Amino acid sequence: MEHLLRVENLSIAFVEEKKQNVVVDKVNFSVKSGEVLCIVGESGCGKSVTALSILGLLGPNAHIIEGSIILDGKDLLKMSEKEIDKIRGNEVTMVFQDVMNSLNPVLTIGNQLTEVIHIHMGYDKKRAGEYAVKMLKKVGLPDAEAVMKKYPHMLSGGMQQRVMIAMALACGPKLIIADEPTTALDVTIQLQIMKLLVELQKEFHMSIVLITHDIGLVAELADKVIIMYAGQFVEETSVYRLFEHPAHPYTRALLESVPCIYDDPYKKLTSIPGTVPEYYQDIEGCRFYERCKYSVLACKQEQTYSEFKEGHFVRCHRAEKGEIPFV
Amino acid sequence: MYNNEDNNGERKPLVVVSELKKYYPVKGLNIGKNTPVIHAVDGVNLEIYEGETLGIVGESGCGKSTIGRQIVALEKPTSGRVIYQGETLSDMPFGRLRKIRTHIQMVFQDSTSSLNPRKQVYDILAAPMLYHGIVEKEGLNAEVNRLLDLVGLPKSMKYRYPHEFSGGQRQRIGIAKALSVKPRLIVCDEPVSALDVSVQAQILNLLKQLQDELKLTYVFISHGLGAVRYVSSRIAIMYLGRIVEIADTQELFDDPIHPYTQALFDASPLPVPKLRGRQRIVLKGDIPSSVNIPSGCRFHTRCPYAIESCRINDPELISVEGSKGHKAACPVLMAQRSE
Repeated sequence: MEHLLRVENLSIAFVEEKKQNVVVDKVNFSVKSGEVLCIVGESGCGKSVTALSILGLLGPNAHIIEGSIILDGKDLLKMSEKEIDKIRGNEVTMVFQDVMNSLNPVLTIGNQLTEVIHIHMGYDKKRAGEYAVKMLKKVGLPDAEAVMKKYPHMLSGGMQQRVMIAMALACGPKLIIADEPTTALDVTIQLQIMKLLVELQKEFHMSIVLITHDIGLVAELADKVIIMYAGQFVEETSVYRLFEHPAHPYTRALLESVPCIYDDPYKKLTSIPGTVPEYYQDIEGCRFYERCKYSVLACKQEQTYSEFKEGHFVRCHRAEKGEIPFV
Repeated sequence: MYNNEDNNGERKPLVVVSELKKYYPVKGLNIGKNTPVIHAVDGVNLEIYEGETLGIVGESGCGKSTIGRQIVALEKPTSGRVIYQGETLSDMPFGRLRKIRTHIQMVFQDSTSSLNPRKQVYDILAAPMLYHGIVEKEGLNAEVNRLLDLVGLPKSMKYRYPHEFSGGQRQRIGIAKALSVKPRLIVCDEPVSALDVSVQAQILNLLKQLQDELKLTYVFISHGLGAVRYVSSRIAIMYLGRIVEIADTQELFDDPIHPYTQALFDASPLPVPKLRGRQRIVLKGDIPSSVNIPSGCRFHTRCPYAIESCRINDPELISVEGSKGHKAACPVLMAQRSE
């Protein structure tokens, strides 16, 4: 399969009071066409910043230090704003977590949706309107014609998220970046949206980059998973391998600390001591050192991110040698 | 002294929630018509026993937090009663209620806004103890140290301000604050929902450990089934202001009866990629608005098993045959079981 998106050696920093604070540290990844890639991490690990950078949506205080983002052979970081505008919305689109703030509250759904179709696909008003209704039906909204005339606040959270997905799909993108698309929704609605994403992804043969902290969601959706901790990738492999043979101590601890409804009820939940470091660019060696139960002196040295089994990358010298016991 | 057992040795509940209803008027201009109301809690009966953890699960807007607020007497019910050890909270004179508040405490979801940003942790913890006269001034410092130790924070942190802590640590302070007045019952309203996954487990374990040490009773309100199952001994499932099923934790997960409970279980993602294609109930549509509650069974608009009579008859919680305290409000599926 061809690589649709390749991100190479990407580093991003936030500039705060003249001090550079590196939040994404030399990440490399690629997405094949038709693949679902999940980037998993806790708040502040840099997963959303990574996702936003692909679409050039970073704020003015963010600064890309180095690296390249190559979509279909073209480097997005070398493009002018005008050229990126053509890609954004056409080839790559985004679904956000906070739907309420991603839709314009003073325009009807129809207005917003037809505008997108008009600008990106050049359809005239009437045709764009018909196409918009078709898209709303596609994402499973009953009575699509009525929804067109409604304002965002008249819809429930799940319906708003469906509208967002319709908008993201309208121009037939090759890649959708979904940043925590179901986090703000109730579980029964979350399942609906999840199913919808999977169906549409198969139908349109799109790639999805899914940003989430929900391990359960990863198990349900992903093909490939990347675990991120403190601005770095610490593990990357296929979803099946990740859940059967997690290598990095952080991944292990993360998987064990999620209460599952079919666990042994008397099992004590494993918790990771301490908290995620807030400023991590100056930490020497392994950034998980302080919280890791397997840390040794050699962990204080810079850890390499290496492929220790085919298609399975890890950033931990002990895991590479198989020194982390498997529970 | 209140006796926990009656003459026959039966356990008496610590709190009884009886026919509780709480409606909120919808804000806005409603000239010339009746003000629409939100039926947040619409007829709930519950018993909370000493030493147990009662989990209340439901989706947003189902009224689970409203019940929590009623139990700590933050609001007066529209009708019905919350009875603490034989006394009705809403009928109590102020002085008595003030005393009772030391028995019933609350831990909130948002630890940032529930702690005063201008006060040091020491003052945050000392204030309730001084107000309720729990300790004398001399013993205050030692008591604050003890509380911090109890929730696993170093006592050197007591002169810091809330913003200097991480979310998990702030939640620990929130728990310490609730513990400062030596309560018997703590209502935890989504205590871990705002925290990172790795920190959630810490707080859940802390709550369990404190319960063992201090013989606390919890009401644990959450939408996360995994977390509720981990801490609770009994679970109530709520939908649109009503309890639709209640049972001991193990019993509920082994044998869920109400279709909503089943759908809720099916909807929780499992961390097992192999089970992706499993059969499960996907509910259609959205949760109806709690202003216009559907007639009959309030779940019938989304229920895959709904029949004609579900539109008309409002089901009550019925005990499941051969079980201890397992009740469900679905006559259709319960009739099928007994056949």
